[in-house]
Amino acid sequence: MNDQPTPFDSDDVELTALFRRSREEEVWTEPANAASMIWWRAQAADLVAGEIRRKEGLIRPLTAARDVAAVAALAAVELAIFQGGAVLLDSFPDFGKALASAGLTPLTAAILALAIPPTLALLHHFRRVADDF
Amino acid sequence: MDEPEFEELYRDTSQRLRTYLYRVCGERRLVEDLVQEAYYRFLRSGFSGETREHAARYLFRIATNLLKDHWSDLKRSPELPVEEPPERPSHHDSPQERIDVHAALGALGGRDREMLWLAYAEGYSHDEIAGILGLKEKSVRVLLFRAKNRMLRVLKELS
Repeated sequence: MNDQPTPFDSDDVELTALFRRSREEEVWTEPANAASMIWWRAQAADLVAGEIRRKEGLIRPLTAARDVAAVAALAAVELAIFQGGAVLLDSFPDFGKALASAGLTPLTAAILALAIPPTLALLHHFRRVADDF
Repeated sequence: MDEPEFEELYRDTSQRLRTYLYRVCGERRLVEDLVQEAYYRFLRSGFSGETREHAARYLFRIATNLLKDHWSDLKRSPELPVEEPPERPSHHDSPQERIDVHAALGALGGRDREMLWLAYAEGYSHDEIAGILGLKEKSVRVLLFRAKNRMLRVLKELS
């Protein structure tokens, strides 16, 4: 390393002058309409984003209604399965015994039966998502 | 911000932003891409700062983040390639003017280059640099002091 004193011995003023000069030396040429092109690109993106937001706003109530209908349909199917199971056990007492001999309590059998609709719904959803890809 | 206002801001700041990015990354083509993207994101952000200098600092911040993202995508350390020798006027014959700042910065890390340029070329305060680089002011004070010492060592060697 050079131990001789230089103009850069911890002198902020020298450093500033050096950097400023380096900044002034750099000259960039660019198309005359560069700013305008960026401006219109941003405007176009804003318009597209605004339109997407507007369309999302329009379909949001429909999406919400669809979700509510799906939950209601699922609840109805679950209730039907529950009631059907109860009727089955009342009408065919041997059915309960058959379940017990298979190692299933009526509660376990009911839970399994109730799990079927949401499982099928999820499988259907995943298949649709996979198809989209 | 309307179009004439943006064009005025672009005229006032684009040269400074380009030079900053070039001194930090050293690739002219990349600089062009980053500058365009920085102004585009600036417009999309709906920035409503009080002064022109406010807007300039925000642009420097966006550009710095874009450069960090670029380096992070490449998964490589930010070296400073020298694409072409910088033009030095022949009448500059004092030791300071013989120094090639671009080459000197090339011996330093990316963070050092950013800080030194913002501090000494742009004249930003510690607080302003902290805002641009997303650091705490105290950290900037310490990091800038170290960067300056490293730069001085390199300058001594070069001179």
